Amino acid sequence: MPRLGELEAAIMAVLWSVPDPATVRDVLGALERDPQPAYTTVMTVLDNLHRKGIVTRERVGRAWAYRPAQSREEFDADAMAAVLESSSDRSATLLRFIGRISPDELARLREILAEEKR
Amino acid sequence: MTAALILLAYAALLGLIGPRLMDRFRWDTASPRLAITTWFALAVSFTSALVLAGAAIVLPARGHSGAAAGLVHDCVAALHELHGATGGSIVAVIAAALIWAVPIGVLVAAVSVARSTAAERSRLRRALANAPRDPHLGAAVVSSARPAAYCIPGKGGLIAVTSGALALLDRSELAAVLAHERAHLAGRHHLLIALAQTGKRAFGALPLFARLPERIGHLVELAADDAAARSSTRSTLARSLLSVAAAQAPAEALSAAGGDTVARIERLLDASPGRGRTGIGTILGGHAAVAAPVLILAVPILTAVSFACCQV
Repeated sequence: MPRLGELEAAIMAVLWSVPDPATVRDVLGALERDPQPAYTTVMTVLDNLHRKGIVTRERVGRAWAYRPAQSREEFDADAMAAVLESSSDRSATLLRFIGRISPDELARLREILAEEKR
Repeated sequence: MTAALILLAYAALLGLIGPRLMDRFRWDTASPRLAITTWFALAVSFTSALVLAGAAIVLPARGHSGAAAGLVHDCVAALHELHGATGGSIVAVIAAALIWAVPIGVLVAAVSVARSTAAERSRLRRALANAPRDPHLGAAVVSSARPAAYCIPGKGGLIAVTSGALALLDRSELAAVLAHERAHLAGRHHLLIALAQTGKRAFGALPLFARLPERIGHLVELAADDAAARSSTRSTLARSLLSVAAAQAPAEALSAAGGDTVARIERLLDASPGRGRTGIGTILGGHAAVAAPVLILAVPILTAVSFACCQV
C-alpha cells in the first residue's frame, strides 16, 4: 500500500467527501488549496492514483469520473497495517509476536497443529 | 607489554570462538535471561579487554606528572625507548587506538542506533495514531485480516493487535498474547536489542557480534514466552502461537534464514508445566551458572590489575 503525497491526500479527501464519482473539474472545484493547482496537475495525480489502484474510474461523457476504491476507514487501516508489515521482525522499534514464517516452517507448524488436534 | 598481549589474545578468543562456546551449552532454552546476561558479559568483557590492553601498553611509561600534553609526550618518548623509534611509534598508535577509538566507536554506534530507532518509532506511532484503542485489552486495534500482534516500545509502550487476531483467538489465548507483549515492554527488551545492534555496528566483523541482534531477539522472545506462560499456561500460549503462525502467509525470502516460531512452540509444548528443561543450566545448578557472566566480566580486569601490581 503506497503512502499518499500531500496533494494526493487532499484529492482523496475530496473524493471521499462526495457521494458520486467526481471528474477532474469537480475535484478542482471542491479542492481548497492556495495556490489552486492546475487542471493538468490534478488530472495527472488522479491518473497516478488510478494506476496505483487507489481509485477506480468510469466514462462520463468525454471525461473520466473517479471514485475511491476503498472507504477512508479501509484505506487508513490498510496503510497502518502496511507500515507495521514493513518493519523488520525484531528491532528496537517494534517487536512482533510472530516473526515471518518460511514455507518449511509453515509445513512443520501444520504437522504440530494436526498432532495437537488428535 | 605481556599483559597487553594476554588481554588482546583473550579479546580475540572471545570475539572469534565465544559464540561457538555459547552454542555448545544449550542453556538458552532453559534460562533465556541468563543467556542474555552471558552474551552481554561476553561483549562487555571483549570491549574492556581491548581498552585495558591499550592501558597496559602505556602503563610502563607512567610515573610522570604534569600537564596532559606533557604526559602524552613523555609517554611516547618512553615507548620509543622501550620499542625503538619505529616500533615505539607503532605501539603508541595501537595503544591510542585501543584506549580512545574503541570507546568512541562504541559511542558513535550507539548514537546512530538511537537515532534510526527514534525515527522509525515515530513513523510507526504516526501510522497507529488513528487506530482505535481498546481499553479492556490495553491495546490499539488495527483493522487487518492478517492475525498479528506487536508492541512498539518507548513512551510507556504501545501494544497493537489486528482485528484478524481478535477474530482468531479465544479469550484465554488473547490474554496470553497480550501478556507476552506486556512482558516485552516491562522487561525493556527493546533496549537489549538496541545494545546488541550497537555491538554489531561497532564490531560486526567478529563472530561474537555479527549475529548478536538476532540472538538477543530470539532470547527476548523466549523470555517473554516464559513470562506470559506464568500468568497463563504454556499450552495456551503455544496454541495461540500456533494459530497465529499457521495463519501467516509464508515469506519465501526468509526460507534460508528461517524464523524461530517453530522452536518457540516446541519449547512451550515440550517443557513440563512451570519447570524449565534439564539443560546444563539446571544440572550445574542455578548458582554456578549465574557465576559464568561474572567470571567472564572479571577476567580482563583481574588480568590487567594483577599485571599492574607486579609491574612487568
